[in-house]
Amino acid sequence: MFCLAKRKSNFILSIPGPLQGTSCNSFSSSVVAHKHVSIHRGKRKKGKGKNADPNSAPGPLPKTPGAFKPLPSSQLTNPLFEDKSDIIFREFPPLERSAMGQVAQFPDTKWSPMINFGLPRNILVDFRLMAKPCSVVREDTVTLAREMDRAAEESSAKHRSVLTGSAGCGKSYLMLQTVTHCAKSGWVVLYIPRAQNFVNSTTSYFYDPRTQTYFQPIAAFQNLQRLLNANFDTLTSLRLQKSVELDKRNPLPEGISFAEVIEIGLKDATLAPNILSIVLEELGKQEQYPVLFAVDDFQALYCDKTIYRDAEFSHIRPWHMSMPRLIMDYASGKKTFARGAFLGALSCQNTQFPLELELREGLQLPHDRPTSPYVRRHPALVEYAHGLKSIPISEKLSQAEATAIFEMWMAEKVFHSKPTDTLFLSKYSESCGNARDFVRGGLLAGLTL
Amino acid sequence: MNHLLRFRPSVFTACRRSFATQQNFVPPKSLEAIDPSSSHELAKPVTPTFYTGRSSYYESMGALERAVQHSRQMLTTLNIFPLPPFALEALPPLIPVWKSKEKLNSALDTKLSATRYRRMLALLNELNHFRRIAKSAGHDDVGSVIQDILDFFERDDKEEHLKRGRKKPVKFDEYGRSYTLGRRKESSARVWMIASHNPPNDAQRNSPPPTSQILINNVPLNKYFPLPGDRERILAPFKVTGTVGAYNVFTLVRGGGSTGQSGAIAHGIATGLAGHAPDLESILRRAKLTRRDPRMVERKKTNRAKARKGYGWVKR
Repeated sequence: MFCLAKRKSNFILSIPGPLQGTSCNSFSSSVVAHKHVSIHRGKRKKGKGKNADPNSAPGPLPKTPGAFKPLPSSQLTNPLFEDKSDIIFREFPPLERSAMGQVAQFPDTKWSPMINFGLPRNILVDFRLMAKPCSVVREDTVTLAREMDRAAEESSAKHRSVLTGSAGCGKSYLMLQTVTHCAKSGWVVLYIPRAQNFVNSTTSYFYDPRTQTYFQPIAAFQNLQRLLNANFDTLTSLRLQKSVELDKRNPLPEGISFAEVIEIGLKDATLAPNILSIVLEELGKQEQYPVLFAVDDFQALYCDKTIYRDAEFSHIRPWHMSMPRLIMDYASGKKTFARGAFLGALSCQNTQFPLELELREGLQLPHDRPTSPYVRRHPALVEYAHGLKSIPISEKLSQAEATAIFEMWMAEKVFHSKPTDTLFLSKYSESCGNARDFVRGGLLAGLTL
Repeated sequence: MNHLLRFRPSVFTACRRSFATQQNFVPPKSLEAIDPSSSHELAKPVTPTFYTGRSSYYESMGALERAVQHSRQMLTTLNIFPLPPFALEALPPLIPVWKSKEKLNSALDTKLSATRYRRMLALLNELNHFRRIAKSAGHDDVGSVIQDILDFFERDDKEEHLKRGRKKPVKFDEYGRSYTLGRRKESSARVWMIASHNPPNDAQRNSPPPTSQILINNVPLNKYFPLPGDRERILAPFKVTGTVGAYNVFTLVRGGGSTGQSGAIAHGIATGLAGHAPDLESILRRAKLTRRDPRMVERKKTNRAKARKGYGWVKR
């Protein structure tokens, strides 16, 4: 039996250096590296009946590699696994109007955010089914890319937006496309695919009396490492303009590169939260490169109480934890980048962290339940949600977009019968244009064809 | 004091005699010349059946029996009665639609017993048989005379009664929307369907194909039915006939659970589709989509744990 320990951290570590092979299924192995997994060992097989020898030691334990560990490509002899040369994907194109309705493959180069930062869970599951990780360029993608191009010249205080829309309309995919576009355009990108991991008590934490917040060293360490891997060349070229004070350490000298600053944080995890905030602050001051701070599962940070407990066993507020605090500072405009933007995306997947009233009102979204002025809104959350702009994603896929997605999955050979126009139209009608219902609930879950 | 008031002295009452009656008595014979209706001669009954106590019943029966007799005579004269067996078999079928006992009671203004009603029906059926023979032989005049007699005894809603059990055609309103009902288990669905596309013309040749919008209780299909099986069941009539995307659907569904509601909607859609495109009805019938699924939850029986499940056998 394979199971993940609930209280252990199950974040995705990036693997620095060249990727392990480029065959179709090796993608999964290079991206996913689950750590701290407890494996229930299977029953030891003893001989039964006549062959049973009660005095003999039990046989060797069967290895349980896990549910999704892929076979090496040399062992995949079945014709089903043959090289899908009829799949023609475009590399990740420049996001212009001409690219609309086309299938764009996410790059797996060393600067790719997908490789370095990991993926939200739903996208990861989809990519495990695909030969190559790709998505379709929608009209909203092009619109958001233009918005980011405008934000490249302006302060992030003016460009703090959150992707909103109903469940399954494509917010996480759109964020991933935007992050990839920005990384390709030379931005410095910090992408957090699963922000709920900062509030669900899965990483270590300790109280820092200087800042009066709870530091999350491992989380900060991980994000520092990812930031460095994703933007190595850029961070090596940028240098500190002034020396920066460090708590209980020698100050950081002027002139060292940002990469070296990050290395200091990577050597000592307790320093990582400080180093991360310093690096982001310095990135905010420089004007050579625009900076994108992208956070998926954004509403989890605006919960009333995190799952973390303090010494009195009361819940710690999210703005008292270092990582959520850092994100919320940039989201609310208290800290800014001279050039760049902040982008958040809501997620409806985890019901443990639903969209709270303060963020809902900050984004001016319609209420889902009766409310009144007498319902308590926490002033801290109201302040942190102030000034956020909502970018609504279109609820329905257009026919051209749906057709492109259908052809993409057709090329992946996921249909057990010959795909027809009737299948496409019926699934499109059943899902009413909703992207997740069309793919997961329709094409991949259909019982009749 | 009161007795004094009673005997008021008056000039007019002084010479009057007091009687038990108020009016002055006039002998009837002297009034006969002036007012003939005041004569007290016994009135003759209109018909002899007055003395039976069930006048209208016996009148009707008499009239019917005379009609039967005359019709038989007429048909015998015309040599079309009695008919040989092969001719009798060739006659068109009789579908009598007589008034019910209650209706006949009110029509004849009498109370019929079951036996009397049955006897009346026997005569009516015989007359109907003669009418059929006359009409089939081409003697419309004889047939119409008998029909006039029978019209009184037939139901008022004869046409609708004969249409019972037959499928009514699907009705369309001024916008071309069909309205049909679908049922499954405890659910019932009211389904309105309208074609989703305009007739193709040259300007629309390159436009994308039309798509269906399906709203259930004003909620889109994907929000109302999260299970893919339910969604597929609703679109099954369109898939089978190849009309996916051709019609927009609005339904109001009530009762039952998700399977029942989706089945009821599918039934309503199939019926509506058969109304919009009658050519497709045979395809839908073969796919068993126009049939109202008669399966309902079976009741629990005594001495059983559920409808079929029995209790476990216990040795002691």
